[in-house]
Amino acid sequence: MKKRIWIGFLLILIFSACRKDPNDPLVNQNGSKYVPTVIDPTTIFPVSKFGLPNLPADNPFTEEGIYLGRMLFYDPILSYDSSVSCGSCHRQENAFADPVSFSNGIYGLKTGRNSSSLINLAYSKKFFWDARQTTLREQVFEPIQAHNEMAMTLPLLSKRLAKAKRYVEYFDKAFGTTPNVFDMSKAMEQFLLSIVSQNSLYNNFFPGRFSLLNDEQKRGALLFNGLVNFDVATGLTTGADCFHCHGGALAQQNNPDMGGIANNGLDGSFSDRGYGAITNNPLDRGLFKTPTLLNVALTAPYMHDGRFATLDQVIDHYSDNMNFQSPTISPMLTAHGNRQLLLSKQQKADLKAFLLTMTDTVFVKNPAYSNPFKK
Amino acid sequence: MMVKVNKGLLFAMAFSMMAIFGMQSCGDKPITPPPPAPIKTGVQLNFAALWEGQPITFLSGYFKNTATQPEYIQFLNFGMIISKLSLVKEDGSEVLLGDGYQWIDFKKSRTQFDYEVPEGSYKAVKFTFGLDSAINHGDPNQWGPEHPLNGNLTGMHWGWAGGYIFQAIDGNYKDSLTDKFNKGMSFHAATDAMKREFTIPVGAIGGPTGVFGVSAGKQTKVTFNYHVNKLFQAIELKKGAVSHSEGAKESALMERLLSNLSDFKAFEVPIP
Repeated sequence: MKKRIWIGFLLILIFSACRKDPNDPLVNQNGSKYVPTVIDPTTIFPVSKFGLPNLPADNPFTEEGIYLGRMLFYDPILSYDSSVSCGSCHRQENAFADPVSFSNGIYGLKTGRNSSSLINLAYSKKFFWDARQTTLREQVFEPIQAHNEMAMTLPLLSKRLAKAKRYVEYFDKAFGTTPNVFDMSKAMEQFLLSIVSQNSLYNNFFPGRFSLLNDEQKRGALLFNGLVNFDVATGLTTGADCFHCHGGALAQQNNPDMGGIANNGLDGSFSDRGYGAITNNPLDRGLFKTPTLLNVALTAPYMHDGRFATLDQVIDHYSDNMNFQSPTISPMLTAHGNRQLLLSKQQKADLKAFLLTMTDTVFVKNPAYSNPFKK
Repeated sequence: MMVKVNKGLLFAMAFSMMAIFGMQSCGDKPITPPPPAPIKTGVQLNFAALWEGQPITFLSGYFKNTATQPEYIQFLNFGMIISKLSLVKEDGSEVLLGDGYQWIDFKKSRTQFDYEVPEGSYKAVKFTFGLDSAINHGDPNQWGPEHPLNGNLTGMHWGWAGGYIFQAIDGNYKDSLTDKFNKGMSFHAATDAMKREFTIPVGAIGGPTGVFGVSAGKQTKVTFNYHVNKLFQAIELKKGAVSHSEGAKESALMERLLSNLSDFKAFEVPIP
């Protein structure tokens, strides 16, 4: 009789294990009952300014997921020698860019390209200068494993995360799992997607509340958003046509074929093939992802190789030094008869004044994006 | 010979078997393919960009513009925004396809669209090239992330300048294939003045018109050909390779291009 009771008890145990429904939000995979707090995306994204982005359906925002991603972003244990975190090369005060041409990885090694600004990524579909990744959860694995950045191995990273009490707690809270690199990438995706910059003067006056701008900024706005048109009397152009590739509320073209990936006339030959190295199409050589200009005053140095230290140098490039013999230069830049814009000194100053309206001083101090380990 | 049965061993074996079966029932159930979706009564509209009958290719090769002094065009980008996309029934009534808005991108092969429509005989495809003014200058953020009018999705919204680009064709051209360097070409049809209405009868260009039928439970495949060489009819790029539809000179050039669409019958819906 005792045996029968024991068998019955064991059978109940076995079959009760089958009752766990993975779709039941109240039961996490490891059986814990913690329910993460889901966040409505409309509370993160300024729908009236940027619209709602297309978000990954299988990774909804939760408070715990974003916080876990934020911890991971700033945690140097993600690098082999625990010296470098993502935040080391993507600094909030620099709109998550790095104020050096090439960033410092572990052992003093340098990155191959300038560290990109990480803002409003939810509206992008391609990542890295060469546009080689299409999701942030895949993107995060690259710098973590790159030999000259964080040089980490995933098995070692899994062990480290599993040993850290803070991660045991937060992986459980966010995903109901023990620490693992798969959910790590999803948490980091949540954090990166949640970084929004929307409080610049540019975003507050866009698309046309001129009264918020001073005269210099207004003239700069007209140049930035005007088509190239050389005035017969003065010889000056009334527009610099920046907006085709850096227009709209995001100050960035996200359709690769409409200027979202382009050669902006830097070089006649290419030491870095950029997008062409990904597609292996000769006509893609020297093409790079067009960056947003929001917070551009904070993201120096500029271009994929950080060759320009100042905004003045960038403006000089587009005005005076375009290399029209660059084999794959964007037709947007050559369609005007390969003629340099030759902006006047005043026009350059106006354009710079307008670019400075794109700085979001609120965002760079937003504690939601700051290092959680610094109290 | 009697074999002495170890009751404990038998119990353990029976328990193990039950446990294995029990565990198996916890695993994923065998995946059975879902039943095929019922064929909707409707049409599949396929847009094709052609140059003298051949599909346009991007980032490769040059297309000779024979209508002028030879010029050689290389396409890098070709997108369109249309609205009020409809089928015209034989009795003249119109059936709106979806909400009527569509973004066609030939480079991305975003050219095939499925629509449910009632059974019947249809004699034409009707659409507006571009958008009505209210929509053109309305808030681009009102559209969902996958909607054809979402400017961030398509890149076909000018933001500051206001309004959508109805058609964007960007590329390079050469006067001679032996030229070392390309020259840029960029035609963006935009502004309310560039909106055009088209009704394209079913039938080959120059041939008799006809109809196509849509039967219950079946999808009729309909091809919409855009003969791009006709857009460039009598256009000499060396005299003007850029128009963004603003200013007297560029507006006039765009007007000429768009007139070519109807004057030279650039659109065609062959009988399926």
